[in-house]
Amino acid sequence: MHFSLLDVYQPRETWVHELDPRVKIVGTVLFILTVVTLPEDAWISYSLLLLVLLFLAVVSRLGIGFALRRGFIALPFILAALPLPFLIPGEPISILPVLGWTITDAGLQRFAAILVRTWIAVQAGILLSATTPIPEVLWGLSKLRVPRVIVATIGFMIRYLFVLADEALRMVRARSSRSPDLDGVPSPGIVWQGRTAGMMVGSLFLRSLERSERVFAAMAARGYDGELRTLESPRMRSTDWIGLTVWLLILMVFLFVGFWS
Amino acid sequence: MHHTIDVNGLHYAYPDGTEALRGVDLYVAPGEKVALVGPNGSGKSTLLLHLNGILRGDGEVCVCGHAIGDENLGQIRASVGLVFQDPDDQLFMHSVFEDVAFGPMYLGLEQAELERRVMEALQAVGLEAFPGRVSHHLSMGEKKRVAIACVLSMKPEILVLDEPTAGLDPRSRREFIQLLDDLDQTMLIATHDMRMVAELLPRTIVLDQGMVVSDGETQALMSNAALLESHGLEAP
Repeated sequence: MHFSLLDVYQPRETWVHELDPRVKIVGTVLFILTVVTLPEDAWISYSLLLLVLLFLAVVSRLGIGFALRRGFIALPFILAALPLPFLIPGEPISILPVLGWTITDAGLQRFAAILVRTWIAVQAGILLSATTPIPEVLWGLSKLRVPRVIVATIGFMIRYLFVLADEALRMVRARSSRSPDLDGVPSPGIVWQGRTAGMMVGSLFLRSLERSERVFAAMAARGYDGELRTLESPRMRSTDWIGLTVWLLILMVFLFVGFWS
Repeated sequence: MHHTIDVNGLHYAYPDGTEALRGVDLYVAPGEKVALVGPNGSGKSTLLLHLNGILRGDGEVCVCGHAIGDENLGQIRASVGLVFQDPDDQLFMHSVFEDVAFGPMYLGLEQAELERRVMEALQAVGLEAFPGRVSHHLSMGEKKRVAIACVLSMKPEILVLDEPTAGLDPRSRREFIQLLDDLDQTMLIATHDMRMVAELLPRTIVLDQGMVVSDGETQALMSNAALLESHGLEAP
């Protein structure tokens, strides 16, 4: 009974997988910065960036559709941008039936740009997590001088997210098995159901709190003294430096294309 | 050779006032393997947490010949390996390697020595092929083994285990008992597994309501049905 929907790492033996995690993290962050810096109508650059991602997905043997499909996970967040086509002033294109709102060309372009940028940026993150095991990402972050406390918090969160999800799953099962949906018996009201859900959340919180105390005891038992330490680093190899340089060049070219055209 | 545990008049009350330990005295000689049994809530786990200074009650706790105090806490924790009941509490890092390396890292070891220690510890529990595995995906038996490796890598002189066989299937349990038998550290094992006690641990301490109510040879205890029953225990 395990909850591992979120295990995204795909073990393969390719040079993308073997790149130093620091290179991949820095590369991903720079890629995302590039995507959001490009002008709204830099469609050529957007396509090029997408092509690069597809290329990486293929050479890391994830399959061409891997990141494309998973990239849509960000779609719900784009709902926030839905009013834009109606709110940004510009040339009216058409009028929404029934409601009578006007869609403008500038508004539509901004909306489409946000949609595409988010989709591409999320794919970069997906590629990073699919080719780099979580311990390596955390290790890379701490070597890149991200504050230890933040790295440790992320680490504990990911480590115990699964444990907590398993626990929640067990609670839901326990509740379902004690609340059968019988014919002729009216199901309890929404208020009652809400109360039950609230109590389950509260109990999950208490359990987590208790677990955190036990985990801390386990850390203290092995000598933890309030300061987090990390393992030593392997050196950056020449291939890592080459990879990073090529990546920087590609991004600069794309930025240039985007601003110049 | 001072691998002893010496507890005198230990009292401990939880912050809410519940008295968990009410004057515990016990002595474990170097190299001895001792069982700690008793009903749920008798104070077994609370007592174990005192043995490396996680909890500090009133009374005297001497480990390896030293009374536990603020100044030697680090030393004590390095020499007493405490294995927790729920391996998910103990395996808090992402990979097996990182977890097993966590303790040695705080001993200030060099990277090469650290890696050697980790591999040695994993070999001792028969998981030498596991360093890169993710803790979340291990089976219960494997998690328990890794939890032991986590403390073995610190080269402790004393092993203190809380319910080591709970939740294991018969084969994993059998293998785990074999592993405990092969290790030569001084051991204090809190457990409900009376079959393991009879098989592995020559001496048994019975704890009930925060007090030691019996301390002696396991064989003698197992044949004393009245005593066992009065403390909610059963002979195997």
